[in-house]
Amino acid sequence: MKKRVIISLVVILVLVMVGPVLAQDDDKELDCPAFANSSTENRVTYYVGEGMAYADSGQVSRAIYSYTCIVELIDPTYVPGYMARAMLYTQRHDYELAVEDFNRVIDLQPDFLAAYNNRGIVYAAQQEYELALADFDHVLGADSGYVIAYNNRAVIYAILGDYDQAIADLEQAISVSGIDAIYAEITDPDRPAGTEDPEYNPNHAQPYALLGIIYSAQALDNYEAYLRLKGSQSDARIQSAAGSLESRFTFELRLDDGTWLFTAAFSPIAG
Amino acid sequence: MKRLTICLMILGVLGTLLIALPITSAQSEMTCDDLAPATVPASLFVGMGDAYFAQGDQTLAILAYTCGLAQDDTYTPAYVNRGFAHLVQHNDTAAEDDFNRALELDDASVAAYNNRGLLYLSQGNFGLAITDFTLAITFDPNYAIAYHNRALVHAAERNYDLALADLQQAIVLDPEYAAPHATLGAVYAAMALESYQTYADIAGEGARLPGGEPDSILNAQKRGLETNDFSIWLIFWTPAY
Repeated sequence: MKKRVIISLVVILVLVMVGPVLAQDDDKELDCPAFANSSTENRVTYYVGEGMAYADSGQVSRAIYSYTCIVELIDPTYVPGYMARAMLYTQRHDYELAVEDFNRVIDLQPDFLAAYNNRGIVYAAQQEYELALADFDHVLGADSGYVIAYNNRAVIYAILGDYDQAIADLEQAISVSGIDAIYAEITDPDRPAGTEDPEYNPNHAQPYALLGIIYSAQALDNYEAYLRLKGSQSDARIQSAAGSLESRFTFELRLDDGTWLFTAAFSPIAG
Repeated sequence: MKRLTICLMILGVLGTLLIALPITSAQSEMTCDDLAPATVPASLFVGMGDAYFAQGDQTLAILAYTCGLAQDDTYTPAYVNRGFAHLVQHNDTAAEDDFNRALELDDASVAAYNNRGLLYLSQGNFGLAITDFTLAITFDPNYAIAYHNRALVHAAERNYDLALADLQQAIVLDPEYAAPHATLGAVYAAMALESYQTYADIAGEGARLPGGEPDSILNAQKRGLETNDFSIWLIFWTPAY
């Protein structure tokens, strides 16, 4: 479960790490000479390492090249190669290519839910919300304990304005992960001082932030209803609160620009 | 299932790297765990090391190779590549230790002979360098790189004929290998300078080259080739009286 969570969050973050859109070098003939006489396994792991290091250094195109060596020359059935390349394509905003790679993964390994989850995120970035919903539905249909998919589907529902469904998914994510019990424990006023926190995945806190965003959106809806009905006699404090929220949803909490997961600060780095 | 586990592991690692803070700023504090989990194969670390090396980050490359060796201390490519990174950092002792260890593990490693030969070449130990490149060629007669590098030693020793022969062989073995062509040009340039010096020795002190300084001749030749103008050669003619 932990690994799955990591994968999903990575893709979410990939969406928000807006890197430079680099020229593609896909037309060049592939040159992958390393360990040419070695075993397929050895060559694959070598290029995985190379791709990881290039990605780590921000050399997205070179990292893509490394994974292309794997899937187009060394082992066209190597699922992690497509997954990694798709993530890099996503980072480069080459969404069509990313979807192609996720499709290839699904062809090769139809039960690999991470591919559906990640493809759903790319669809969301393309504003193909129905396709995104279908992918998250598929994941949750196959594994009702897939916490990240609840979060991601909630995002889509929120973008579509279906706050009730979004809240239901987020509450389900909290319930499935058990993070609510953890929170209750670490905030228990009777907890002896100096007690060590229980181990938990900090990424499971994400639904709380998403809920906060959605409740904020609902608050804004209510403020706007009040302001519309009250007109010039409306309370200045409500005007101010509504203006503040509207500004946030126009900029850092904008729901439809594919980056708001990040601006909602659900990075594993932030913990 | 094993494949899926590896997939998840690698993706997890990739994700960690993608989202990591710029770790290169704190390389001295980095450990293998910062690069990848201890469960990955040594070849993955070598791939990482090669990528860091290609970007000029020898320190991080050395860490990656060392991590590979922590996984498998008999993995020859990690010694070979780490040795070369040490060589680039002018840490000759560490470089030689790594090349020697690689050859202890695989006495037919042409890469290890080649890189140790480069170390000896950089130190001016031409005899040892020639020996290593020749051993590499012995183990792999099609190893164009060793022919090329042996040519460098010959050139450093001013044995230009031998250098030319090795370079021609490297080109024959691998026509797509660019380096020998550049080296060939450099060898011809060195031969040109020697010839100009011989001219000066015979013509006497203060005698000017017929075509001007070597750079001028080279530039005139370049222009002549570009414009199909053969007149540069007329400068050098010798009339009969």
